[in-house]
Amino acid sequence: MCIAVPGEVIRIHDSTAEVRIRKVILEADCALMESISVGDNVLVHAGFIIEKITRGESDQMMDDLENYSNITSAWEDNS
Amino acid sequence: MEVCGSHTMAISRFGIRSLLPETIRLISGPGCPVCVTEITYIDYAIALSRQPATVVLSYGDLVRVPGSHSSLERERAGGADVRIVYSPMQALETARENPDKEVVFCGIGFETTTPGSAVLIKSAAEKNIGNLSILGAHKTMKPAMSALLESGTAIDGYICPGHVSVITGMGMYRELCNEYPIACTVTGFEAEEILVGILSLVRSIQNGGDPVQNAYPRVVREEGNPKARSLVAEVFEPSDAFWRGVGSIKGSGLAVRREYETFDAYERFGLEVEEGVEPKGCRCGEVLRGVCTPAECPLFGNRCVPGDPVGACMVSSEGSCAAWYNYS
Repeated sequence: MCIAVPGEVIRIHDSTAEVRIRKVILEADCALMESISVGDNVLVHAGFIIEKITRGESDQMMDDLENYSNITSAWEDNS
Repeated sequence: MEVCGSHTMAISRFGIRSLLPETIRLISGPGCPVCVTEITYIDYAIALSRQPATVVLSYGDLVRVPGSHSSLERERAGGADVRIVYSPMQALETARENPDKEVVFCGIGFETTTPGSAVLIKSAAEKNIGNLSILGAHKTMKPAMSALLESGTAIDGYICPGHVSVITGMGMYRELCNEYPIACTVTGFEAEEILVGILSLVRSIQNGGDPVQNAYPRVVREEGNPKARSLVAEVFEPSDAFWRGVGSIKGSGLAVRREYETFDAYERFGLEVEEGVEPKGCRCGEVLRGVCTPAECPLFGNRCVPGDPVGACMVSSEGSCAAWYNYS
């Protein structure tokens, strides 16, 4: 129930934004954010934008995944 | 122990347990908000749905949860006006469109979901919507995580909920780790993210370094979402809350503040509802505390299946029993 999905803000109307999530466009409330702009990458939960996310942070996560992959290989080598 | 229903489902779906060495055992905790919602709350929502000219709005999973003698789904089949919503703000629209009816939103969920309910109540107050109220059962994670440790459940580390943490930030876990000898790692929901989170948690336990790790940094900030927390604090105040299967946990609930009590369905309707009766033989409570696995419940897979659930953990798509049934 606490799952949230990433999307891109494509339009803003007063306190709500249209967010494109893959091929679907959802209306999301902006009340939980200090500021939202068109083009922001955001996380949407239950009709509310709860956070902005960036490309750089995504790249950081990929580094973590690579580290995990190295450890997995080590497990396999030892088993 | 994971304390997030989405993690519970993801761990089962991706077969994470089968990838781990025998020395790492994953157990599911009370992280599914539908599962931990007390049966008396369901009975109260059902009683509201039977009131004249009343619309009850709920998130999807909750309508199927059996109360003592019925469910919101059954009431709807019998003619009650029960509607499923995706966002709390749909309750505002429904109230505007139905000025001759009472509109009640069933507000359940943890820190991720509660800010939406707070915005709903604030908006209703600002717009003078007089026919809207919330039947609240919002809960907070830290008191429950503390209670599990106090109860003696053998846990070395918590896999912490990714999207709850978007709101709370990391401070909540630092407080917990200062109070108890436990490690906490926040992680995401993809298979790789969960595995990275487990690795981070194990390293933290083994190496004795910082017990608090954020393995989901692309969305979880140290400070969380202060604006969301501020809105919640403006509308709600801490209260004791009953967790199905766990019992009453001090300060783990959120009650509507007196300034907004006109939007509190308990205050507005004041219905008398008898204490709920748990289904006989159901071990959801022990499953939620990590004391037993779903398969150890005598009802699991025979009397209790996803198509005809007895306990809340089989009803919710994120419940431990549903995850176990679908993927084990």
